Amino acid sequence: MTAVAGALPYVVAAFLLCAGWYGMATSRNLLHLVTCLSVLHSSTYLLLLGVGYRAEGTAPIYDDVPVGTPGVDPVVQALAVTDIVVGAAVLALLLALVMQVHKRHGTIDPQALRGMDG
Amino acid sequence: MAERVRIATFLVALGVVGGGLGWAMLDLPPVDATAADYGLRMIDIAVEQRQTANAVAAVLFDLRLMDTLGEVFALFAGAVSVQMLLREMEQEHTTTPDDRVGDRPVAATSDAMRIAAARLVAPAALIGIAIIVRGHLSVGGGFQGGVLVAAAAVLVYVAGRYRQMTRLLPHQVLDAGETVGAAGFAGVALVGVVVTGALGANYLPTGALGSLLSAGTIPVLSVLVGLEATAAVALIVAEYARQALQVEGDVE
Repeated sequence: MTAVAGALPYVVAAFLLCAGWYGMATSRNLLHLVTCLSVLHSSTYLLLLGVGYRAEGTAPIYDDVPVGTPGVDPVVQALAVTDIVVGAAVLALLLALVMQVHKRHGTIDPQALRGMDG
Repeated sequence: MAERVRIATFLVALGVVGGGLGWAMLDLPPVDATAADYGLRMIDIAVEQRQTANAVAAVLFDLRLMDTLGEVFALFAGAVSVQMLLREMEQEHTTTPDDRVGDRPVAATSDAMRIAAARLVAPAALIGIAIIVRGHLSVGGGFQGGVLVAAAAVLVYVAGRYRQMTRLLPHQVLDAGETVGAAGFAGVALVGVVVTGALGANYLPTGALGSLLSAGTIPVLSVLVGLEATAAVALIVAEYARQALQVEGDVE
């Protein structure tokens, strides 16, 4: 594997992180902002799976490959599951907050929200 | 003007963090170069000692159970918080759902959508249950299957049947499912303290690799997590739908 291909998952993860972050900072719509957060978050999946990959490794599931075949790291895959579930819970919570902001302020443009009340 | 300053400040920060990340990555070994000994040991332990073909499920529901315990409660807390945030406010009231938005009628769901969604309900639920129950044997597990079972309930709603969805899975059932899932998970883990002296120990017989009743507590925990995930996701979707269709009032 060349040096470029060897670093590709990390580079894409860094790109997703920065792209999501840029979108969040410049967002004019809370729904768009929450979506950008989930783009940012998806970089962590790629980083985790990249860290656990191993040359010639199969999925660490031995139902149809012989036991003893080299597999990729199952720990980071389990961490990715945890990551996705927690991410989904955070996303649900944020979307509920967006609903309430819209009800209370009549707008979901974060820059039109001024001060706190209630 | 203020916005321009804000974005300029952000771009400086982005440059610092992005540049720092790139610099840090220069030192990382290539993606396929190494494998952590810890992860490789986990595969051996999963297959040889736990008789679990799916090493990821063994890590989630046995070898690193504490992480999953936190994850289950994070999902529980997420669903409860959504319910709390979307509760009826003082100036609001709940109405019976009708086919109107404000004072204009909404278009009926198209027949194509109704038929496609209605046909998918049963297969989605069945595949979801299979993925939950066979989590230790093949690809799958409680979280993945649970989301699929909840998707079956959402398909009832997509088929244009909001009332049927709430009748099929009323709030009380979802609340109970979520509580039983989360409390049962913690309970099974706690029983390990009594039986073997260690929290989350796998104290049931592990059986033979590849049979449905094997891997000890792993399939039990997988089913409980499946219940929890189903209820949590269905609850979140039902809460959004209720907020949009049934809660009315002016809170501004």
